[in-house]
Amino acid sequence: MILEVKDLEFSYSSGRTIFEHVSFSLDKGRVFTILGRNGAGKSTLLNCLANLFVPNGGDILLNGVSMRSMKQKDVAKVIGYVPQVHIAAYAYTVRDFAVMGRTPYIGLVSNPRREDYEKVDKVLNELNIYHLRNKSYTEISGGERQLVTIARVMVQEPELILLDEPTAHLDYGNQLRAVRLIKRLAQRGFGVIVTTHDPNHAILLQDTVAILDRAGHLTTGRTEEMMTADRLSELYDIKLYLEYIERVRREVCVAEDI
Amino acid sequence: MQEMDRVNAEGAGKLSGANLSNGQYRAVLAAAVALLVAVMLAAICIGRYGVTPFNCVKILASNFFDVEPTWTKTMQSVVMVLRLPRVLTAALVGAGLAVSGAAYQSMFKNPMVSPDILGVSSGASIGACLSILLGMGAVVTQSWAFIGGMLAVLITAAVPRLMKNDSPVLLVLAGIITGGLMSSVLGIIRYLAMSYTADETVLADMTYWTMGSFSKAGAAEILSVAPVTLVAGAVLVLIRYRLNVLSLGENEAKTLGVNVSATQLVIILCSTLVTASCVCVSGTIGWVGLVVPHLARMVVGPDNRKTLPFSLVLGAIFMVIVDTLCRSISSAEIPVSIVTGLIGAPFYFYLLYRQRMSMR
Repeated sequence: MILEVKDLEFSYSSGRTIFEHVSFSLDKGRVFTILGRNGAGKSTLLNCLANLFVPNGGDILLNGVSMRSMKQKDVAKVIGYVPQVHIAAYAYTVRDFAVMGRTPYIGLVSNPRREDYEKVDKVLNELNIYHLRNKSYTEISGGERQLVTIARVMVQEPELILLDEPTAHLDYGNQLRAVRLIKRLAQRGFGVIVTTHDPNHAILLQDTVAILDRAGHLTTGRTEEMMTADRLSELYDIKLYLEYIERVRREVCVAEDI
Repeated sequence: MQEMDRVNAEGAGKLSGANLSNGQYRAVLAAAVALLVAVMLAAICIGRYGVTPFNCVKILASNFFDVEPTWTKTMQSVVMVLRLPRVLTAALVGAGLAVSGAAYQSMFKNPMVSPDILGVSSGASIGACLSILLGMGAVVTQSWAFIGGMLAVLITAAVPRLMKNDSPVLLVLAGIITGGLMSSVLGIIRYLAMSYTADETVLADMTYWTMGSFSKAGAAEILSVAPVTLVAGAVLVLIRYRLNVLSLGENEAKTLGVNVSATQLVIILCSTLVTASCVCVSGTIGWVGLVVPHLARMVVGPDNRKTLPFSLVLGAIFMVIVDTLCRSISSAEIPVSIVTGLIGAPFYFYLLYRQRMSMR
C-alpha cells in the first residue's frame, strides 16, 4: 500500500472537529474520489495528506512509514499535490514552471539539469501542450494552467497525486477532459486522490468513492455501492436521482425539477 | 483579493515578455558587467579634481605591476584614497540592496516589497544610530543594525500571519506600519541625542545619514562591511533556485519538498545581513531594492537564476551613477536618497502603469 490513513482526526484550535476516525488505504493505479458538501473538510483532509496541516490524531503511513517521521523532501517524492488554483506572482515560462516539479531531486545549491528539462518536455508532449513551453504561465488560459500544474506534478514522479477540486474553475468540456486525464494518470500507475463537487465525475472515474459527511465521518466503498440516489440526496440535501442512460451505458446523477 | 492577484499576475505577464535563452542571457550579463566596469572607471575619473581615464587605469594597475608613473601624487591619492573606495562602496551597496530586494520579493511572493518597504532599512538604521551614539565600533554597529533590521522584518512578516491573510497589499501595509514606527523611534533617538550631545557633527551626520550618503566611505569602511555583505550575498545567489520555488507560495513550495521555514529563515537572515551592512556604510537608501529587481525582470525575465545575478550588476551600475551625480552636480553633496527617489519613483509609477496593478 502506498498510503494508509489510520484513525485520522483534525480539529481547529477553536475546538471544532472537522473530521475524525478517518481510515482508508490506497494502492497505486487506483482512483479515490472524495465527495462532500461545501465546508465538509475535503480540502482540510487533502491538506493533511499533503503534509501541509498536522492532524490532531491518527497517523498517515507512506509505504509503511509514518509521514510524521519523514522529511518534507522525502514526502514530496511519494506525494504530489495539485492545488485548486495557483495564483502566480511571477510570469515564469511554462517550462520553468513545470520543471519546479523536480525540486525534491535537486540539491539546495543546484539548478535543474538538462535531464530534468527533458522530462518536462516529454510530459508536455504527452499532455499536448508542448507548443506552450516558452509562453508565460500567466499568458495562458485557466484550463492550460491546470494542465501545466499537472505536468509539474507528473515530473515530480510521486507515487500518489492529490488533486483539490481540479474541475472547479474549468468550463464543461475542460472539466470532462480533466476527469479523463485523472483516469489516465491512474492507468500510468499513479495513485490518485481527487475531490469533486460533481457526483457524475465519481461515476465516470469508476473506482473508490468516499463521502465526507457533516459529522466528519468518511464512508468509503466501490462506486456502485456508494452512489445511490438516497445517499446522494441525503448528502446534498436535495432530491437527486440516478438514471441509467442507454446511450452512454451508465448511470447519471440528475436533480429533480427545481 | 484573488481578483487583484489575478490582475497582478496578468500584468506581470505583460511585463516580462522577455524570457531569454541561456545564450542571450549570458551575452546580456556580460554586457552589463562590461558596462559596470566602464561606469566605475568613469566615476573614478569624474569629479572636481579630474583624472584622465588613461592615468586612472595606470594608477590602478600600478598597485599590481610596475608602471612608469605619468601622474602626480595628488592624482594618486584622489584615485586610491578618495574615489576608488567610494566607487567600490557604492557598487557594493547598490548590488547588495538590489539582491536583497530581489530575494525578499521572491520569498514573500510579492513584487511590491523591498528592504525599505518592509521596514528593514529603517530598523537597521535605528540599531546603527544607537550604536554610533554610544560610540561603538564598526563590528558592534553592524551587529546592532542587523538586530534592528531583523526585528523590523519579523514584525512586518508577523502582521499578515496574525491576520491570517496573505494578500500582497497587506504585507506592504504592514511594512508601512513598521517603517512608520521605526522612523518615529529614530526621531526620538535624534531628539534625545540633541538634548544630550553638544557635538554638532554627530547630529549633522545622523540627519545626513538617514538620507543616504557615501561621503564617509573610505577603505576602512568598505573593509568592515564587505566580508559580511559578500558572504550573505553569495549565499542568496547560491540558493537562488529555491527562490523560484518559494515564489510559488509556501504551500506549493512545501509540497515540492522544500523545507520552507528553514529556507525562509536563511533567506531573511542573509537579505537582512546584506541590507544592514549596506545601511551601516551608506545610511538608508530608498527605491533601489524595489526598482532594480523589476528592471532586471523586464530584461532577463522572472527566473531568479538569471534575475538575481543580473539585479546584482544592475544595482551596482545604478548606484555608482547615482553617487557620481550626487557628488558632482553641485558644489555641496546631495543625499543619495534624493536622487534615487527622483529616478525610482517615476520609474515605479511607469511599472505600475504598465502592469495595470489594481490596488483595490
